[in-house]
Amino acid sequence: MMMQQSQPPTQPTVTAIISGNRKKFHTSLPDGSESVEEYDTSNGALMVRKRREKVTTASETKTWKYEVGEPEARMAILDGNSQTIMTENVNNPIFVVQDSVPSYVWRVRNIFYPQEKTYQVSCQPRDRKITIRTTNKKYFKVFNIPDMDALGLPYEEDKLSWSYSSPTLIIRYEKPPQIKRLEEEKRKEREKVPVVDQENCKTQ
Amino acid sequence: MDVAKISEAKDLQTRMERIGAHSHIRGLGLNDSLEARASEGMVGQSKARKGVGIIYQMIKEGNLSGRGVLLAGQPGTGKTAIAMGLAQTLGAEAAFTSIAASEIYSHEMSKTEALTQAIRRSIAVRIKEETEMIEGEVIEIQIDRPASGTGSKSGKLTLKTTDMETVYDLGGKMIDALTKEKVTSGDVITIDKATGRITRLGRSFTRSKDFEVVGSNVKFVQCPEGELQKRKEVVHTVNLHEIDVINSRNQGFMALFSGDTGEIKPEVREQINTKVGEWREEGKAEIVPGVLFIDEVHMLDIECFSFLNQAMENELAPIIIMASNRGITTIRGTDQSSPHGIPIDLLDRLLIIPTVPYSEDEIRKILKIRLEEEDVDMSDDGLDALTRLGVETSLRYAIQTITTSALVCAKRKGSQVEAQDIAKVYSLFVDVQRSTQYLQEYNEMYMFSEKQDKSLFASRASVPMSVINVTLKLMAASNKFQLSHNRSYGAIGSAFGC
Repeated sequence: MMMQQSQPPTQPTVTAIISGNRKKFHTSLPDGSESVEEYDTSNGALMVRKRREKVTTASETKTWKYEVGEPEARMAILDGNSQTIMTENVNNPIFVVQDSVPSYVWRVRNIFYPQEKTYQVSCQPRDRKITIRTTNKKYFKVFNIPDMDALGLPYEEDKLSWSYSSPTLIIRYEKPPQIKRLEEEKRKEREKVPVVDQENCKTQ
Repeated sequence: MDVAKISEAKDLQTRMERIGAHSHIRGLGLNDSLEARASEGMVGQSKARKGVGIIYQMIKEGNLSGRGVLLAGQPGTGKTAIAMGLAQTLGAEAAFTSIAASEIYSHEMSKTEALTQAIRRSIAVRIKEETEMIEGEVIEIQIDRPASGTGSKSGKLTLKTTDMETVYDLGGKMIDALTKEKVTSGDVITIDKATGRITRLGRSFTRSKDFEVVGSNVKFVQCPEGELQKRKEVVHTVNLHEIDVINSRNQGFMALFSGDTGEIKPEVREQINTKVGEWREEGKAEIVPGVLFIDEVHMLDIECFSFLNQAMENELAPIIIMASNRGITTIRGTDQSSPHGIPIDLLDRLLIIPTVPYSEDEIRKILKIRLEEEDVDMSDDGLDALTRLGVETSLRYAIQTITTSALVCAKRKGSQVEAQDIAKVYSLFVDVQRSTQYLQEYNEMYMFSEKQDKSLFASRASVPMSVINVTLKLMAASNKFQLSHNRSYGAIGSAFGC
């Protein structure tokens, strides 16, 4: 347990490392929060993006919030002694946000309702929402695209596509050109960040 | 066996509330343009009510702090009723603290501490919190007990909304909580994701059947829509005093329930003020200034008044409403007299709302409302007599006559309270005027009358002229009283016409 918090930097500081076939970037923001992004070294796709808020007291532990990528554990309710008292059953579907260079991807894994016509995926441009429904009323999910909301870009029904191959439902939304351009710029900037040589990294 | 029967019978009866002096008041009785109407239990005092209505708007807007209002008027002109009406209009959430000025004198606490606590009780802090919760209708609870009978239980809970369904694995604690809350399939529940606390919202409409036997307290709710996991904004309202008590180190929050809070250090209060200020800046909390009502304010002494002077200037001060039925009298703790027994400097900071005696017509209306409240059936003649009684003695005496005369009426097996019942009560119970007159008349027959007489003579110089005048008048009236004592009720009005 750290007694003294290190001073938060006044500007975001980025550290990059390569581990396996992933290039990882760790960013510390001035408000004390952190974010981690992991990219596939072969095609440059974003695999994981997670954020964590500032930890203010010693007893508090803030968990990582996954924006992209699969969290390790399912939703669980803990009691005072961090013992699990309720979890989602393993047979329930899992919703995962993914990313690829040309489009946004979402996967609903572990979903077993057979016929394709069970699933209804639709986009509500007015509410800025994408909805997954099942005709048997077993699964329902509403989500949005934060990147597009941030820029205020309109949702378009025809950019949305989906497919089902048991046991996974895959939904894609083609990224608009503005987003693609922005991501390309960010990629170029990322390449400037020096990679920390792990060989020389002092172990503590 | 008998005992069990009695308790059963009591359960079946609808629980009766006790009727207080102001239980008929349900609001200020003002319309949108602040015109006073005879509604919500309020009658007359239209100017005073209009004034308080403006104060109400001031409170609602909430950006003015530390304003003082004085309700001044003779006894029984509805000062407390107006304050109660304001409390009702403000609603349950607003911090409305009502104290009698004599409450602050205690051996355990200094006067200023008691006042500070009352002031801080009148300022609410509304804290907004966003929590994630699971909300759905229970389809099935399956509990697996180990075959040996000991060891941890496990189970499954299936919840649904109109759009989806999810199965959850349960641990032992969750099973215990579900059993304790008596959750069964068909209930709509919420589970707080941070704490795991279960709340039962009610039964689902889809599960209600025509001939189902349900208790009167079962609520039917719609099955929730959309996703099971939701973000909900929860608002807590606490007052500053509660925060003070919880944070005063040697007490702990249990003191809130025992009421034994003792004195709270000013350092604690200062820290809380800064903390609440921080929350407000961060947008986490909102300050809701409330109302502190001090009844019988003339019972405060000069130290309290000077403390209030200063306390009202604090930006975290509530709106203070005071009520007094005194005229020009000495300020407690001094030899100085002042209007309403309040020092002029404080009086100058107050908005003074006078209440005036009720007219005969208004008294009749109030008595009618009270008759309804106390569930008494009275004839028109009876009401006429009662109204006259209210005009000639006091409104309070007339109100007290209602229940007693109803009992007299029941005794003679009458169905409606008549004038004769009221006359009977009037002959049985003396009112203030008659009591005073009687004492004046027969003072020398009472204990210690000599001594009191002496002291009266000794201090005669300090007795104001008006008091002596009144005494003389009453003495003169007492002769008449002797005569009227045995007369029928109808003649009493003329007897008191002096």
